[in-house]
Amino acid sequence: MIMKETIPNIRNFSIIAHIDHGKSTLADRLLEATNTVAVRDMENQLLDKMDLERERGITIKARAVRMKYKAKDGQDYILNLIDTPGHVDFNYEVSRSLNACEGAILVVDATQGIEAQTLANAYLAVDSNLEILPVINKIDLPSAMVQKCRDEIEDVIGIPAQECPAVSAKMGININDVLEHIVSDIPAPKGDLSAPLKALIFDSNYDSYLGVVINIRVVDGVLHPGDRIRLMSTGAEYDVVEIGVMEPFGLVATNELSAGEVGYITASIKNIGETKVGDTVTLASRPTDEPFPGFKESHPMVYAGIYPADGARYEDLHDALNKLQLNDASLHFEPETSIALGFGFRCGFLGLLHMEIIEERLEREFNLDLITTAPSVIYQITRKSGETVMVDNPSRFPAADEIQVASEPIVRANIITPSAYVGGLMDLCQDRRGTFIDMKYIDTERVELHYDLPLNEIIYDFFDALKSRSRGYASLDYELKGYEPSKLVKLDFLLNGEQVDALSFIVHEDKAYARARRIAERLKDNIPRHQFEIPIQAAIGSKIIARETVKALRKDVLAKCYGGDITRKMKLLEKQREGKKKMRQLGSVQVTPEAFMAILKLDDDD
Amino acid sequence: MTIDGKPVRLTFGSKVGIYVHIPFCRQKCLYCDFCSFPGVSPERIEAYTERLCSQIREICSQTESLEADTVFFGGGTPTLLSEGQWDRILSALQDSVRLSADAEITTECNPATAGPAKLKAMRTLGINRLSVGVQSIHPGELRTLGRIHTEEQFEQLARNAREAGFERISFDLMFGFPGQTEESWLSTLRKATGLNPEHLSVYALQLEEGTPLYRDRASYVFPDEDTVARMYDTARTFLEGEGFSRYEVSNYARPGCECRHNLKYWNCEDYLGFGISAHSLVGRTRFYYPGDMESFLRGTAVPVLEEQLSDDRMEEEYAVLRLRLSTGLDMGEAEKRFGEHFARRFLPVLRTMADRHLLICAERNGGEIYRIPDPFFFTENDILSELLACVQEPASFLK
Repeated sequence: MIMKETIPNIRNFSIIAHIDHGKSTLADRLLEATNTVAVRDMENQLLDKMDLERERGITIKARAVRMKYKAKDGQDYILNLIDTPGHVDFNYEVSRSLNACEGAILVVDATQGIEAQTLANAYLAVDSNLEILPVINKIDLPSAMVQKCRDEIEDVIGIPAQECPAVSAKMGININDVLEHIVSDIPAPKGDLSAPLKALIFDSNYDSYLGVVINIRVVDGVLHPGDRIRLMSTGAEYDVVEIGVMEPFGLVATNELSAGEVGYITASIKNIGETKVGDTVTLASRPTDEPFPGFKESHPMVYAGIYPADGARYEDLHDALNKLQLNDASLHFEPETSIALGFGFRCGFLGLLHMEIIEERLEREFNLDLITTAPSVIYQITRKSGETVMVDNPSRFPAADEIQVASEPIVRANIITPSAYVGGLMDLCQDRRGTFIDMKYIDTERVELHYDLPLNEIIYDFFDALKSRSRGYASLDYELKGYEPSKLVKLDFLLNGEQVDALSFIVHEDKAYARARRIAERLKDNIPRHQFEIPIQAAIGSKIIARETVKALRKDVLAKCYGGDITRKMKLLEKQREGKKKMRQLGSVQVTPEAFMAILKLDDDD
Repeated sequence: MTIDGKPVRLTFGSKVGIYVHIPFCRQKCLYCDFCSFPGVSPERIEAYTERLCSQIREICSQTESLEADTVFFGGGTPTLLSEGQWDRILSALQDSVRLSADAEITTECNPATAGPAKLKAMRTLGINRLSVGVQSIHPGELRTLGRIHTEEQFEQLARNAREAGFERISFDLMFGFPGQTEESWLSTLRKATGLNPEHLSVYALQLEEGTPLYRDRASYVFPDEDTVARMYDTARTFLEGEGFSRYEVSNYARPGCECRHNLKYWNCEDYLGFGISAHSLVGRTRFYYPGDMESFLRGTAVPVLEEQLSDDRMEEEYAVLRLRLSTGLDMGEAEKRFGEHFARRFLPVLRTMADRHLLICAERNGGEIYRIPDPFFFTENDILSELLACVQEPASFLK
C-alpha cells in the first residue's frame, strides 16, 4: 500500500502557447522576478538555448529550470519550469514535458486570442490531467482585448478565466501575479518518499564530458549519488555518478532528489540509445512494480532521404544523427542507398519544420553538407498478391500494375482564421484535395474551419500558403485521422535519359501533369549548362508526360590569355571549380544540391 | 632585383621572351582595359622612353647570361614611338640582352599611326613581325569600338608593311560586340585574309569592368551567346578553309608562322617584362610593375609579386595553358618537365575525363596526348575547371 503524501512547497509546471504568443518571454520574466537570473545577466529568452531557437523565435527542445520563490503567504517555494516546444510538429515533445508537471500556464496573446495551437496544446494538457492556468499576455499593446480574451478562453476551452492574470511579459507587468497563481492554483506534487524509486525521463541530452545527462521528475522514493539505477524499458543498469538540479546557467549537484522534485542524473552512460524519453528510472536493488505506461508514441509523419554531399562523410552523418536522436526521440532514421546519391539515411520527422530544424542542426552543429530529397508521407499499398506494405520511399513504390489499392494518410485539420479570409482558405483546401467537414464561428469575426486533407498535400508548403492567403492571421493544427484509398501515381524524372531515383515522388493522378511540368522547369533552373544538351523528362511508368531541355554551353572561355592574364584566368577557373565542388554528379549530369528541393516548391502562383 | 621588398635573384633556364609595354595611344578604345594613356604629349613619351631604356639596362645588368629569342612590344600603340625612340629602345635591348640571330621581334601596330617611312625604319632597326590591330573593316563597327583607323588605312598599312620588308604580319580581329552581325563578321574575315597575313588573332569581345563599353552596357545590344558561339565557329571554318590552322583558342597561323613569343606564355616558359604594367614569369615567380606612370618616370617603380607558384600550382597552370593549344597536353613533355609527379596527379583524371568525352586522348610514341575536343574549345573553362576540381579534390570527384 503506497501512501501518497503532498510535498507542499514544490510546484512543477509547463508553459504552453501558440507560436509567438510570448511563452519564452514570460519564462524569462519569471526567472527575473524570482531572482533566479539577475536582470543584468538576462539574455533574452534564456531558455531557448539553441541558436536556432533564438533565431527562429520558437522553442524546439524542452528545457527545465528551477526557481526559488518566497510567496505572499511567507513560505518558500521551489518552482520547476519545464519549457515546451511551441509548434504543431512537436506535440510529442509537449506531451512528454507535460507528464512531468502538475500544471500548465496557457499563454494567450491578448491581441490575437485563441489560435489553433492554443487549443491543441490546451487539449494535450487536459489529456495529461494538468491544472491549466490561463495567462493573458501582451496587455501593453493598444490592440489588446483582455475581456474578449477571457470570454473566449471560457467559451472555447471551457476553463475559468475571469480572474486569471493579465500581463505584459515584455514590459514586466503583473509578473508577480502569475507567480502567486502558480503557488495557489497549481497543485503541489504528491508522492511516497518511502516507496521504491520511480522517476520519469522527460528529456536527455549528451554532454561530451558527462556522457548522457538524463532529466527526470521523481514521482516516488529518493535517489542518491552512488545508487545503482535501472532503466526499466531496457533493463540496463548504471551507477549514479552525480545528481542535481537545473539552474539557468548549468547543472548544480545535490545529495538527494526525492519525490516531487525535478532534476538530472549522470551515470557515465555512453550508449545514447539506452535513455528513452518516457522511460522509468528505478533502483536496481528495489525496483518499482509500477513503471509509467509510456507516453503517447510519436510517429514520424514525413520521411526524406538525407545524404552527405561528400560521400566520405557518411559515418560523420551517422554519428550526428545518433547524437541528435538522443535529444530528440521523435527523429527516426535508418540507412538507405540511392543510385544517384550513394549512402545516406531515410529519416522520419514529425513534420516539415522538424525536418528543416534537423537539417539545419546537422549542417550547423556538425558542419555537414547535406542533400535532402523531397519529403514523402507513408503510403499504404495493398499489392495484387494481397500483401500490404507501408512505403515511405517513393523509389520503393510498386509499379502501377502490381497495386490493388493505394492509400494515403489523411489528417483532420483545424484552421482558425478571421472570417474575411475564409473564402481564400476554402479555395486553398479545395485545391489541396480537402474535404470540408464543418465551420464554426468562435465569435463574430473569427471562424474555425475543419477539413480533412491528404497529408501529402500539406507537408510541403501548405502552411506558407495558408499564411499568405490570410495575411498571417490564420493558424493551423492537425492530427492524423487515418488512411484512405486514393489514385496515386509515381512520378519519375530522367536526366539525359537516365532515371534519377532520388527525384521520384508520389502524387495524385489528377495533379501529376501540372506538377511534372512545373518540376521539370524547376530542374532546368538547377542544372547548369553542360557541354551537351540535357533533356529532362518526367514520366509515369514508361509514359513521358513533360519535357524540358537544358541547352548546351556555348561560350565559356577567356579569349585572350597572355602574360598578364594568366593569374586572372586561373582565378576564374578556381571560382568555377568552387561551383563544381557543390554540384552533384548524377550519371553524366551535374546538378546543384538545391535541385532535390526544387520539387518542394509547388506554390501555384509562379 | 627586389620584389615586394625581398631580394630576388633572377636566373633563367633557357632563352626568355621579352615584353616591352608602351602605354600610350591617341584615343582609348571603348573596350580596352590595358594600361594606356591617351593623348599624352610627345615630351611625356620621350621621358618614358628614356626611363624604359635605363630600366632595361639596369635589370639586365643584374641578371646573368640573359638570352632572348623573342621580343614583343605591346601597348597602347607602340607605333606612336618615333624612329629615334625605336632606335634607342632597341639599342638598349641589343646592348644588354643576347638576342638570338633569328629572334622574333614583334610590335603591335595601329594602321593610323604607321606610315611607310616609319615602317621601313622599324624594319631596318630589326623589328621583323607586325601585329596589327584591325578588329573590323566596317566604319560603324570601328566607331562602336572607338578605333581611330579606317578600312583604307588598314589596306595601305598591309601594302606598306610588305614593301618595308615585313614577312610576318598578324591581324587582330574581334567579334561579338554590339552592332556586329554574322554577315559583317564574315566580310571582315574575307577582307583580312584577302590581304594575306601569316597569322590572325581572333578574339571574342571581353566586356571588362571599368571600360566605357562596360559602363554603358545597358545602352548596347550585345549579340547573344549562341550568336557569339556561331561567330567563333564561322571564323574557324572560314580560316581553316583559307589554309590557317587554329593553334590556340583564339590564334590562327599558316604552318610555321605561329607567334613564338605568345607560345612562351602557353608553355609556361620564362618571360621578362619592361615598362609599366608589364608582367614577368621567372621560374616560379610571377611579378609585374604597377601601372603608376609617375613613380616609373621618377625611377622609383618597384616590381610587385603577383604569385609565387608552388609545384602543384605550376603543374596545374601548365595543364590548363597547354590545353588551350591544339597540340594539347603531351604527357611525355610534361613528365620531362615535372617528373612522374605530374602523371600521378593528372593521368587518372585525364583518363576519366576522356571516358566522359570531355577530352580526346591520342597516343604518340607510347605517350598520351590530351586535347580538348574541337567543338568544346569555346567552352573550355567548364572542362578546365572540372579538371582542376578533380585534380585538387580527388576524394570527392573520382568515386
